Amino acid sequence: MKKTYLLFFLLLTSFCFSQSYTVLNATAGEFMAFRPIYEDTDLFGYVELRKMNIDENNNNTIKYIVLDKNFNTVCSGNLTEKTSNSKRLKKLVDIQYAEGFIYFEFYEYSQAFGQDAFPYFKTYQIVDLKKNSIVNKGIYNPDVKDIDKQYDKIDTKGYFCYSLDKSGFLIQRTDYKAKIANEHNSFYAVNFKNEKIWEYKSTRELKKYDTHFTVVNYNEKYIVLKGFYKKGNKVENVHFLVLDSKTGKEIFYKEVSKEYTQTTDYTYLIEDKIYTGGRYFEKNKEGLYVSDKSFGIYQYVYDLKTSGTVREKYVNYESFTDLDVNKYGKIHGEGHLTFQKCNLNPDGTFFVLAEAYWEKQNYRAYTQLYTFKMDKDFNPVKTVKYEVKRTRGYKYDFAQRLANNSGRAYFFFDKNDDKDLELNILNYYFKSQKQVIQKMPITNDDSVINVFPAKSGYVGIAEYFKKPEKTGKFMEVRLEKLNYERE
Amino acid sequence: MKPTFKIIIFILFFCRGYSQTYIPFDTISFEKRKLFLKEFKSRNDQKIKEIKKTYSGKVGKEMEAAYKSQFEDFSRTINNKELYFDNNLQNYIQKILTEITRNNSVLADKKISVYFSRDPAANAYSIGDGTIIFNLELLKYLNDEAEIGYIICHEIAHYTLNHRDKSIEKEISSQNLKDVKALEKDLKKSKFNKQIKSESFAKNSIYSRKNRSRLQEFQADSLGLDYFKKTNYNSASSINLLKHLSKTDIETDSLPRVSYPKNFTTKNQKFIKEWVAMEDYSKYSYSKENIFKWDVDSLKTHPNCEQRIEKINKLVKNSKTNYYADKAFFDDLKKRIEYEQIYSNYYIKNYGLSLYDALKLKEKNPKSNYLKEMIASNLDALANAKKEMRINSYIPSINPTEQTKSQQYYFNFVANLTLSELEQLALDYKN
Repeated sequence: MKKTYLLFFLLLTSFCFSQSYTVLNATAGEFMAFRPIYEDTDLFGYVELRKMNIDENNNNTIKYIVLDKNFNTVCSGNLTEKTSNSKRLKKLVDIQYAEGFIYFEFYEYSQAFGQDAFPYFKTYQIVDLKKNSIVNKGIYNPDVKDIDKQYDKIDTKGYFCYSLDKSGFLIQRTDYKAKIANEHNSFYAVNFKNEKIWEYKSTRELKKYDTHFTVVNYNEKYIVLKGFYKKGNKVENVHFLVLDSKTGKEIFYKEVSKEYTQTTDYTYLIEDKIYTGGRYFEKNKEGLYVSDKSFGIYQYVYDLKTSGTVREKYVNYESFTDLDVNKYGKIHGEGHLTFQKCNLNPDGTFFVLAEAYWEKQNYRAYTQLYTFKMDKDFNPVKTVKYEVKRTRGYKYDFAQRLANNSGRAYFFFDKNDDKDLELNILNYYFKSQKQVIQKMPITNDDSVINVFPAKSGYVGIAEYFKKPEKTGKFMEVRLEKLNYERE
Repeated sequence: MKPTFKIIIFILFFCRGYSQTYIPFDTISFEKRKLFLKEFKSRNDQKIKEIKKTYSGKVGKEMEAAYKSQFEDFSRTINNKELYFDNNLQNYIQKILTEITRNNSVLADKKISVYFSRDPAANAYSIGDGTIIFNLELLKYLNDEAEIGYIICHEIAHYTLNHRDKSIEKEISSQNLKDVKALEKDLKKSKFNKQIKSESFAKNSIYSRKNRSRLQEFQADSLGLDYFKKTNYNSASSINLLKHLSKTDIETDSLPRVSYPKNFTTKNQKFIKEWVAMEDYSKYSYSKENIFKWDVDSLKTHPNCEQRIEKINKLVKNSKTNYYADKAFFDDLKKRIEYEQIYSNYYIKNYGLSLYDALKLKEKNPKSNYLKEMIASNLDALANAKKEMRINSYIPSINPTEQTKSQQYYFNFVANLTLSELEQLALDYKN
C-alpha cells in the first residue's frame, strides 16, 4: 500500500488547483507510514502518519489519520515527539491496536551517509480513538529522563509492544547487559492508561547463557513465547512457554525435541490449543541448517487447558506417496520444496501450500506450486500440483479468508506467457475441499495493479493508470470482494 | 375494428407512459459530438492565443497550462458521452435561452449555448466560453420552467462577468506574487517550522479563493436576477429555486427492505438471507471534524441558500405570471426524468446508481418492462465488473457518515452477491 499516502496529498490539492507545489508539499507534510491495524485477526482499519512540523526545539508534530476498514476517515489528530537534535530523525517503529486504543512506538535514528544508522530512545503514545485524545505518552526506558544525547550510552534496553485485545498491551523488555539472567528478557502488561498490570521474569536460567524469548503468538487469553538459551553460537533448551495474558502467570512449559534442528514457520492459537510447525533438519548445536537438506515437516499441538501434548508429529518427505520426492524434499525433475503456508481447516484437517525452487548463483528460480491436504493427525492425504511458470523469486504473496468463512484465498503471482506478471487467486473451499484458480493480469495497456490485504473476504486493489489525462485520475483504490462459490 | 381506431389505441397505449416502453433521448450522436468537440477546441485554441499575447514568462505558461487542463477535463466529459445532442432537448432549451436573450439586449452579441448533460450531480455550470451545461438530474428538484430560466440566467451572469478567466488569472498571479516567492525561498532555506508557515499561507490563500468564489456566486445571483426579471418568467421562482437547492443532497425516497426478496427471487435464483447480512461499523467513533481542522464554512464554494435568498429577496417581485416557453415539453420532461436518468446513468456506466434508481422506481411501477430491462442490463454490467474485480468502481464501499441507511443496505446487498448469483439474476431478468 505504498502509494496511498497520495490520497492525503490529493485531498489537499482538491482545495486549490494551482497552488505553489513547494507550499503544498510543505503544507501536506512528509509521509511517514501507512499501516493496517488489526483487532485480533480481523482488520480494524488503517493508520496514516505524516510528519508535519519541526520547531527549533526539535519538537516533531506528527499527524495521525485513522481510517476504518473501508478507508473512511474515523478521526485525525497530532502527536508531538521530540528528537535530541536536528540531525536525528524520528521514525515510526510500530502501531498496535486494542479495544479502541492505538499504541504508537517511535525511535529517533542517527544518520550516516543519508541512511538510518542507530536507534535511540524508544517512545510510546497511546491514543483513545473514542475521545480522539492522547491518554499517555513517555519514554520506555525509565533510566532515560529526557530525549537528550547525554542518555545515549545508557539507552541499551529494547522494548517491543504487542496487543492483547481486551487485556491491554504486552511489553517485552530486553537487557542483555543485565547481570541477572531473568532480566535479559522480561515482560509486563499495561492497561489502556499504560498502568502496569503484571510483570513476568523467567524463573529458569542456564548459567552463563543469555535468555532469549520471541513472542510467537498472543491474544487476550494467552501469550506464546519461544525461548532458548544462548552462549556465543551455542543454543540450548529450545522451549515453548505460555503465559496467562491477564495475570502473567506461567501456564505451560514444554521443551522442544532435541532430536532435530527445526524452523518455526507458524504458531497458531486456536481455541485453547497451540499449533506450531515448520521444517526439521539434522541436529546442529548452533541451530544452523542447510535449506536444501530438510527431512520433512513437523507439527506440535499442545492443549493449554490440560497442559498436555496432543501431538508431536514428524512427516518425512517419503510419506507424500503421491509426490515423486527424495528424502531432502527435492522433487524429481524439479527443485526443493519450500513451505509457504499451513492453515487449519474448520474440520480439523490442514491445508499446506508449498513451492519448489532451484538454487541459482544469485537467486532462486521458483517453479512448481503445490498444495497438500493433511488429515486431522497431520498425515498426507492428497497433493495437487499447479502448472506455473518459472519465476525469479517466490510466487506466494498472502492469504485471506473468503466471505462467510467458507474458505480461503491464496494470492500468488505467476507470469503471463513468460512476459508480464499475472495475479492468481487460489480458492480453497472448506466444505467441498475444492480448489479453484482465478487469474487476472497485473498490467494491461491502460494500467498497472498492486494488491494488498484488506478486510476479511476482500482484497485491496490499487490501480495506477498509464494515461491519467484519458481517465481523469491517476490511481484508483478499490476493495473487491473475493469471488467465491456459495456452498 | 377500424384501422384509425387501432392506430389511436396503439398511440394511446404507447403514450400512456414511459412506464412500459420508455425510449431514452439521444443515444446516437457521434457526428454532433465530434463537431462540438472541434468547435470547443477551436474556441480554446483562440483563448490560448489571446493568453500568449497578453501574458508572458512563467505567468503566461501557467495560464496556458490551466486552460489546457480545463480543456482536457471538459473534453473527457464530451468523450464520455455525457452531453445530450438530442434535437428535441436542444430545441426546448433553445426556447428558454431565446426568452432570456431576446429580453436582454446586452446579451444580443454574446454567443451563448446551453446543453443538457447526463452528469448525475444536481448542478449546472458555465465553462467560460459561452457554453452552459445543465445536468438533467437538476430537473428532479425543480417545480417549473421558470426555475430552469433562472439557473440559465445565473450561469450566463458567470459568463458575462468573466468569472472563469478572472479566477484563473487571480489564482496564477497570486501564486507568482513576491510574497509567495519569498515564502518558497524561505521554505527551501528553513530548517524549522516549515509546515506551520506554509499551512498558514495555504489556508489563507484557500479561504480567500473560496471567499472569492462565494462572492462570485452572489454576483451571479444578482446579475442573473437582473436578466431574469426582464423575461416573462415570474421572478419569485428564483427564491423558490434557492429553497429547493438546499435539499438536493438529501435522498428523498428510499428502497424499502421488503422490496429485496420481492425483486431478487427469480425463476432460477432463490433469495438468500446472507445477501442482506450487514457489516458492523458500530465500533467506529467517527469524528465530525475534517482532517485539516480547517473551518468548513470557509471552504465552501457556494454561500448558504439562506444567505443567497436574503440577498436577492428584496429585489424579487412576485409577478404572478405562469409563463412557459413550452409547458407541454416541460411537463413531459418532468414525467420522464426518472426514467431518463436511469438510462443516462447506465449509458455513462454508473451501473450501481442506475440499478438503485430502477429498483426504487419499480416500487411505483412494478409492471414496467423498461425497468425490468434496465435492471437486467445493470445486473449484467455489474456481473462483468465483478468478474474483472472492479465492481467497487460502480458500487461504493459503505460509508456510515455519508450514506443513508437505504444506500448502505443496497451497497451491502450487491456486495454480498456472488458472481454466479449476479449472473443468474441478470439472466432471469433478461428472460
